[in-house]
Amino acid sequence: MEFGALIKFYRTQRGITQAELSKGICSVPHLSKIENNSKEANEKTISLLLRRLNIDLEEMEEKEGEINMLLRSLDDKINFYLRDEIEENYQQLVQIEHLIPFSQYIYIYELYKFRYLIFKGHVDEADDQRALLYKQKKNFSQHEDYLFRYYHAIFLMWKGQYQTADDILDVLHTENNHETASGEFLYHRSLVKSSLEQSGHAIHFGKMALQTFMNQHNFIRILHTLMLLGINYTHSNIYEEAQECFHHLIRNAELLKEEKLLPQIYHNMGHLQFKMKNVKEALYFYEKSLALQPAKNQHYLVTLYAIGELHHSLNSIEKSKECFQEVNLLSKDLCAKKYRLLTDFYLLHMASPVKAFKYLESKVIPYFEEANEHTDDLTRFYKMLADYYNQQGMIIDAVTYLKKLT
Amino acid sequence: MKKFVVLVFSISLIALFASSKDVKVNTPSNDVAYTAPSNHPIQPPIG
Repeated sequence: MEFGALIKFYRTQRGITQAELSKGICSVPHLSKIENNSKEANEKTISLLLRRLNIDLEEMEEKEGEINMLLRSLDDKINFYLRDEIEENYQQLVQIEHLIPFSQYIYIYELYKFRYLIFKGHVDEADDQRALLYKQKKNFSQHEDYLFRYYHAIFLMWKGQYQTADDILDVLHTENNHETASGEFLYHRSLVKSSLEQSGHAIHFGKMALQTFMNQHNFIRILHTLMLLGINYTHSNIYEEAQECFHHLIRNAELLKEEKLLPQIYHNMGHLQFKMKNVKEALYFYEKSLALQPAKNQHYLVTLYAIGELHHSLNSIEKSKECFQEVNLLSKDLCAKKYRLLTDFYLLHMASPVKAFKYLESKVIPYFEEANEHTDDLTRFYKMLADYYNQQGMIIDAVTYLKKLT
Repeated sequence: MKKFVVLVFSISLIALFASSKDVKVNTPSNDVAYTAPSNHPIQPPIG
């Protein structure tokens, strides 16, 4: 049992100084050595220190093995993306949570709890857990420090802060830690690169992740990785490979009862068909995707918006208007500012192009510039404004936007 | 006669310059279809 780490954890958590805790029991340097496990203290000293911290050690030894087993199992289930089993496993840990601080797994438990909260998408609770762990950071072992930074990067991905997440993962990778060869780590590297539209890197890490997951027979993550590869082959105009990925995904998502993935696969297939200029097929897949999405969630919004833009590009103004109006309403409910701004622009453009371009310049472009993502959108808007000002004979304004294009 | 020809020529020249200021080829903005949609793929779950 890690008495030193245990004492240090509780003392730090409760904001007690070494002098306060050791007063009348032992000297401060002695306590410091106990906490760092560099000195074996006698039983009496340990027991007095623990009593002052109100810690009861009964049952500890019996339960320590069980805690270890449950933690390993939770980690495995997260890596294999077994959603239902993760919940059950976590609840088992919660039942013996009061004993965990007495074991050597106190930090690992708190770190896995952080990972669990991220997995569940409980962003606010995960943020609280991150703050709690940050206070303990200096007490972490090398492995725990790695986990903290890695989970922090995943947390930032959830918050959409892809560049910072990428920087952290990059540092972890260059530190040459053997843990960065795990399938999950490679998958997250690929995913963050994909979100940053760095397709070459995303394909590189995605292929490595796929190989690892195949060796582990990690079927669900294989599907997720194939999706990443499909998206990034599409982005890189490697259409044959992209089609192969999506066909494979459609066949296997049903087999593996991953029906939740199907609408997303159809959406991405629609995106691929659009890039290939197969407009009818693109519309077919987008509509298929939309029909399979029961809730009016973020994905529904993205697909409906894509359909709206497709109709707009085909000059089917009435159909695109209907889509954009629905997206506009939904974006307010879902607090999806990006889609609210975009549909505001298109709807305004249908009524008054002059007002629409003013709106584009004053609201849409500043938002995209600040978000620093989707550079292809920004490029398109710069070009739109340059064309618009050119048509209006406002050459200086047109040149301003043309300059931004270069 | 010569004066008349010069006068007519001058008037037509002035008319040409005056009218050319109003001539402007302008594509109505409503006709401009922006055919590069900003739709995006849906990324797989972070987990």
